[in-house]
Amino acid sequence: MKNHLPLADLQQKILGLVKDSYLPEYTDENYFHSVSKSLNLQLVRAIALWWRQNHLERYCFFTARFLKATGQMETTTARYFQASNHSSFIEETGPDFLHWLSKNTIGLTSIIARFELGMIAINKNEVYEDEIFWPCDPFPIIYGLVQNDLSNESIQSGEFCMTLSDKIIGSFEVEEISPFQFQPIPPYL
Amino acid sequence: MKPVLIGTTYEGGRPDFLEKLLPIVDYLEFSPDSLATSRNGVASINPEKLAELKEVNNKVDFLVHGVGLSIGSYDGVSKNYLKLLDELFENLDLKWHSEHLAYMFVEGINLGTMVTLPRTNETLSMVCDRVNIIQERYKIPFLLENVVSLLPEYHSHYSHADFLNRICDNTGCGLILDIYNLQCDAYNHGLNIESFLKELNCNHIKEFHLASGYMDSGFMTDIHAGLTSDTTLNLTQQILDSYRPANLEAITYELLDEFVERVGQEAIVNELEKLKVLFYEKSLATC
Repeated sequence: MKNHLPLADLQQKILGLVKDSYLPEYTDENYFHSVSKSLNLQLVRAIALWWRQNHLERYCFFTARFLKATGQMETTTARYFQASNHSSFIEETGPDFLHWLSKNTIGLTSIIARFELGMIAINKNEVYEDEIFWPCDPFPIIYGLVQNDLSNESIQSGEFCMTLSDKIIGSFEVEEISPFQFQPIPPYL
Repeated sequence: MKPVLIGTTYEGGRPDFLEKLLPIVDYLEFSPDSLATSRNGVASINPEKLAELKEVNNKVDFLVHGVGLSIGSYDGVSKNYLKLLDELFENLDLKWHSEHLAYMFVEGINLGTMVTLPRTNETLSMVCDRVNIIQERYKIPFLLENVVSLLPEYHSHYSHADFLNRICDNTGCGLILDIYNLQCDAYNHGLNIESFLKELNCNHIKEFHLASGYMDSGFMTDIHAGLTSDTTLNLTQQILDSYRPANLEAITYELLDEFVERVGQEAIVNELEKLKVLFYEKSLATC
């Protein structure tokens, strides 16, 4: 009868394989080499990602729709979940994902994540203040996301400043600003 | 044999749906994880969902079916899950509770899905110890469910059925036999369902789970997304006829909350009525 690896070692290796952070070594049993190349492992990763995307779609509606509309959903969520040990609870994973997006992506992806983070906080009656500079008119984009019909026409040029606050009726205000007032968002903020 | 009860999964927050379910089902089955909310790493049952269930506590039975206990993690079960379970026990009358025979966390890191355990002596002993502790802590029956094996199996000391028999014999816990999961294992890994059932002591089974899933990359998956197929219903009938699980008490139709609207509330109600006709009204006990 074959010797069995202790459960701790087996589970640590499986975790590494699922998270794609472990490559079986020469000394590892054939089992791990075979799992690492298997379609089964791809499926496990896909199912894990599906669950997480599903939860995110329900939690951060705007951002998820934007990511889908721009073809970034799969790669971005995969990158996020691979990089972090996320909570099982969407109330924690959701804001963490939006924070992560606002810091680790650029342009509209980062802006929309930051906008939604604020909206969620305000809807939960939290004290919240933020000022976001948009390199385009936010309203057609927000409308496009609400209608799930975001298109190139939704992105209309201009520079706008959005103030998000729990003290504003409707949660945010938008003001068009002249080009010299515009502060483009640094890539990693 | 008592009449087989029919129930379904309910995750709270759909009062209109609950109203339609109550006249049909004998019980609702819910997962603490789905009812939970969390702040700063501390989990608790969502107060609105708890209030909703308390409201109907005297109208229907409740079964708890966990996802996040992770009974097979080498480094211990989830304390968050036990806290949620404590809260449910304090607030609701629960008939029995259950969990999947699998692990979802390793050193606190979430795998994102459940993974089956190697059927070794080490695992057997660990799972039995934990089942005993759980049964000591919560004085109602505890069941374990067979989970779909997605990864290729690690070499084992025991067959599937022998492993389940030993856990039940050693601890006195019961089983949920997920019939769709058996079909997945047969399709994905060539599990011989007949041999499995012949070897399994079917008197350990207290509950059946019926569900559906979909094909992905050539695999049958257990994402509960639709109505039960005829093949699953036929297999259920065959198990009832051929193996006569004497302690079977309940048949649960499982559907993820995410798919309730897609499947349609009326279709779900019809599905439950169909199960009643198939397995309750025609069960041995009611004929």
